[in-house]
Amino acid sequence: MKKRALALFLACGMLLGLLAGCGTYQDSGTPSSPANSPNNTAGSGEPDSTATVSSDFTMAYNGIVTLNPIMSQSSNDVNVFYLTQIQLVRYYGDQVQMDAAERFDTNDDYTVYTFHLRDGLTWSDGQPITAADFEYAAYCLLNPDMGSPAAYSWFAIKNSSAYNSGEVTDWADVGVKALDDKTIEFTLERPLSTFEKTIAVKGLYPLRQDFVERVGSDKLGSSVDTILFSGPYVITDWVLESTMELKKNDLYWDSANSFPTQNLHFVEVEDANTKVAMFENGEVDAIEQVASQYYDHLSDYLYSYTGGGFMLLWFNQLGTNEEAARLLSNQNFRQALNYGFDRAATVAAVNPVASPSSRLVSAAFPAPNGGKFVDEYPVNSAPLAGDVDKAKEYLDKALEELNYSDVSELPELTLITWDASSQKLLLETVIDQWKQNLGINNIQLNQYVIGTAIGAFYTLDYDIFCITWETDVLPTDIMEAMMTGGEVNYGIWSDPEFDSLVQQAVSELDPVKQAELTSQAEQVFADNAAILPMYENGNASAVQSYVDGFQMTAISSGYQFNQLVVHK
Amino acid sequence: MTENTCNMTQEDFARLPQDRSLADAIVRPSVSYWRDVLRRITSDKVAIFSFAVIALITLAAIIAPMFSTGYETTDLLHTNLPPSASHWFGTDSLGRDLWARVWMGARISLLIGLGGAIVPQIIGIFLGGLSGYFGGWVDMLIMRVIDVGVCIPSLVYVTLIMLWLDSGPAAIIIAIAITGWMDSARVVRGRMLQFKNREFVLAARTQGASPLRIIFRHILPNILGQQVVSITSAIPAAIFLEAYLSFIGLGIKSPMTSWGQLCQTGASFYRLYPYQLFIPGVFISVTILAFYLFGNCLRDALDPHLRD
Amino acid sequence: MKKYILKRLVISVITIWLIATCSFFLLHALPGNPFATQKLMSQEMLDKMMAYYGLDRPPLEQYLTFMKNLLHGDFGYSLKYVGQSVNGIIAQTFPVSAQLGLQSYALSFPVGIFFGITAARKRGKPIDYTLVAFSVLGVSVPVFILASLLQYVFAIKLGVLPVAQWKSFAYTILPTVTLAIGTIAGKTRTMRTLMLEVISEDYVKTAKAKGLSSARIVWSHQIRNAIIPMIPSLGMEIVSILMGSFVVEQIFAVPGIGAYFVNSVQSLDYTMTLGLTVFFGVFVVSANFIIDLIYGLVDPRIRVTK
Repeated sequence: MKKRALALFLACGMLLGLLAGCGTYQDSGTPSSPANSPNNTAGSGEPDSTATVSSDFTMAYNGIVTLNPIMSQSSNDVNVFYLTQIQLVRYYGDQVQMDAAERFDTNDDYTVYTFHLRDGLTWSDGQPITAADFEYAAYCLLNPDMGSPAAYSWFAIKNSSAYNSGEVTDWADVGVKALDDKTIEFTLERPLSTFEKTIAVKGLYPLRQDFVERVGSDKLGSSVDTILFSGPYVITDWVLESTMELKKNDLYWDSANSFPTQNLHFVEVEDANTKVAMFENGEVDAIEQVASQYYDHLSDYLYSYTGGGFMLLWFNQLGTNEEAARLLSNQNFRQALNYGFDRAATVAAVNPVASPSSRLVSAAFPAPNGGKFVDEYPVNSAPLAGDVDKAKEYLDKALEELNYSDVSELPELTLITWDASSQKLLLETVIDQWKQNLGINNIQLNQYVIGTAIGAFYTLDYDIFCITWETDVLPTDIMEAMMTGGEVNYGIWSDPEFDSLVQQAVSELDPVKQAELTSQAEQVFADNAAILPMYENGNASAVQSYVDGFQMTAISSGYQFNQLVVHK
Repeated sequence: MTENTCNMTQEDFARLPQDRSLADAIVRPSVSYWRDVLRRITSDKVAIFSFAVIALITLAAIIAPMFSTGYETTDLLHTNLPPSASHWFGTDSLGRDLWARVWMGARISLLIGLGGAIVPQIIGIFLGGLSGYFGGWVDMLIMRVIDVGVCIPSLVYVTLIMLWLDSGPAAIIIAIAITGWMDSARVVRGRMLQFKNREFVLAARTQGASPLRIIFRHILPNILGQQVVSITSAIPAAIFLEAYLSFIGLGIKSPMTSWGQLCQTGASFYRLYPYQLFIPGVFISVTILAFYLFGNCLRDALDPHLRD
Repeated sequence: MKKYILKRLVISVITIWLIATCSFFLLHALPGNPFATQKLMSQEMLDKMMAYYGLDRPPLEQYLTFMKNLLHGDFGYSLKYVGQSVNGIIAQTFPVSAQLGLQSYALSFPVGIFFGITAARKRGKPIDYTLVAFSVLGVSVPVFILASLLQYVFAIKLGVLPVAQWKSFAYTILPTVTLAIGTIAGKTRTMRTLMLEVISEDYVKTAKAKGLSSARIVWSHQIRNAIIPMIPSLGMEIVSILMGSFVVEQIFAVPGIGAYFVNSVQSLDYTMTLGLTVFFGVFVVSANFIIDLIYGLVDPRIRVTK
């Protein structure tokens, strides 16, 4: 089944004719084994068929902020939405599976996507789920009066950006239409061969207009009574920053074949030591986000995967003062910093499940030919172990260009980040390596409370800033966000060559050519060293050995408990 | 009683042979209040011993970092090493030598612990004293300021102060002072109310002593003992407040460290590397014990009630 | 007396208004952005969010809106917890913190007083040193270490109590005790000092001379007079106890109000912080009011009414 789905998935990408994607999801009798669970020792022992299966699963989870998909800003929320809401298509492992849609079609040039819903979909209150509910969800996301922070995720849809900024006021002009109860059509701004991935990752969860209007959009999702469920589970109780109880939803279309565990009990535990103690005491079956110091201690239970974005150092070429700006605008100086520290050793000491990286593209992204993008399109940047000699060369060049006779004359630079203790350790060692390797003594670490720190980031009130960025659906999207005027480039750098390469890549339809252009752009990006990637975040959960099928992945957020079984 | 009813005759009394004024002369040299305090402190073994401990730790904090450099030098190949000959206190998760860090941290913690305990007390005693003694609108004003002040989350002040003054020991002490004086002012006010109508105050007042003299000369010594005890218990609070502020990025600038910070980091590793919590923890506890015992002796010495 | 109470009431209202106003402007003076999360947002999106919550308007206008809602007892909606009213969050978390605080106070107050009296009466004896040592440890060991140690011993090693969460009475024992130990230590020290002062007072000597039993002396002459100076700080103490201990609540995963207090300031959740501050302020002001009244009743030497 797995192979077949994969074949269909590939076909969907390669067939350039009509009905490119007609991936029909079928349920065979046996449930699929957890696909691609990296390092999952939890599933190592074959489940004993005689062992009793518990209907309950308890986990220390990362607490969520809202059940309202329109206002959600956090991937923690999305993890829960995976369990409680239906999607047109959803990720399981690294594959896109049909969910509410039984199939979808695209036109020749990938500008129109039509999704056909399956029969018998129902909300938790018993009413049918229709295509209009998906259209209404898109309407809510893009409506400027709703203030959704996730609106930009959908700017690929025709006129959506203009509608969101108020330039277009008629919803009928936006490229989302429910053609009938069972069909929804998306018209895109420009050709995009992977829009179904956007849907699966960003999550277009249906919303029913009459319900939303009844509870009021500002109260939507603030409690279990102000949201309707459509997914494999319904939430029966939720205490903010504390506990959540989920019960299997028998109205979910695939409830017979998936999500075998009846009840999920989530509890939020802030303290890292407490979390581990609860796990060791058997009070919980799994814990999310194990603190890095416990990785060795819990190595037999660890379920780890990369994901959750990149840790980046941003250089503000406008600087907080003129001298800092002059220094930071110097490419050789930035490269000296880029080559001047050992990413691999740093990550091993600070956050062992993260993977050190000096580039922007996640190792999880596939290349058009089926391999990994990072392998197929290598980029020439600082080696993971650093290169002190090269860094010194760059530094000497920079000093010469800027007329400094010695490193000690460099102006003071502030490196700002927020108050996480992991950040502190990370940056203390990086700054110290620059000091030991290059004699750079002018970088001062300043940590602020998160609101103040990130406020400074948005107002460009920093020299260097350390922050994570959760990357996008495609390597090309990542580059697009970084171009002049791009989504997360707040004016700190600009390169015409990079911009033109990205523009070409964005409008390129052929996946291979697009990937090539993207990789060229990435090379320009790396040469420029305007933003230094340090590592790709890693997540580690600990799962008891009697639990099978625990799955979370890098590509898309979500508690992918489709095959979760507790043998207890 | 019956003895006293004996008869007295003229002969039992005689004229004083000398000038009367000499009868009032004080034969022993006058011992001022503070001299008396000093005398009693120096004759107390516990006081001397605890003072010696404090002095020793202070000296070590000044001297030790001069000889062991590299409290901020990371060594990613030698992380989390237990105490050994080359690293007397082991290394932390970035391979930094804990011996160097503990003594570097001692400087900061002693400074902040003492400063953060004493400065707010002084302000609190002064304002609380005024408030309690004078009552009326002075009391009203100060109490209202306190009522408003204690309610505004201290994190707001602290963040603002740190942004104005840039983070450092002085800024932290000021931040602690601004938030901490209110509690002691309230307590001192209460004590002041209790004492201000006592006989000795009345006596002083009838003799025309100025209010400030009454407050600081007559009432304060009665209150000081209690406040010294609060100072000794405020030292650990200040040390850990600094740790907390550093934890949320508002304390001592990295890579500087403090005992509180070492403890806080150590606490997250306590199951795996107990020494990282234990070593700074013991230093804090010993220092505080010394301060406490010394404070106790000082209290006994300061309190006029407990004069031998 | 009526006039006095009325006067105090007016003053209380003014105080609360001052608290709200000062907090509002101080908080808005903090640089930063409430929508700043670890996840990056485009500048455009950020501006839209600010506009959506009315944070782009002039501070004075925002202040007036805030005051208007405040008069209705409405603290508004949290900026971080979308769709959650501040009132709702307080209603949900305050009872938990209050229970924890009251339980620990019910434990620590009598024990602390008893320890303090015992230490003072047996001054210089082994029991005094033991209690002093305990009280020093109690204050010098920070609460996060104490909590971890208790958790390690009783939950992990002995397995007699649960590690964390807040479900039944058994779950409340460890956090209650952790919170109480610090207070007991502090109380022991204060009580010991105050008792020592009282012991040498003339009225105690008089009572002794009159031949009263030592139990009687301790009870009706010493304790009473020693406790009085503790009263003024009682108000703040009770309030801080009701408002919960951030650290204890975090370590034992207690769903109390403490975490909101700390996190809302850090993430510049203006409405949440202001709501909690005003709520807290009302508590402090009324507690002080009551304490002042009681103080006057208990200690005849002090007259609050003239």
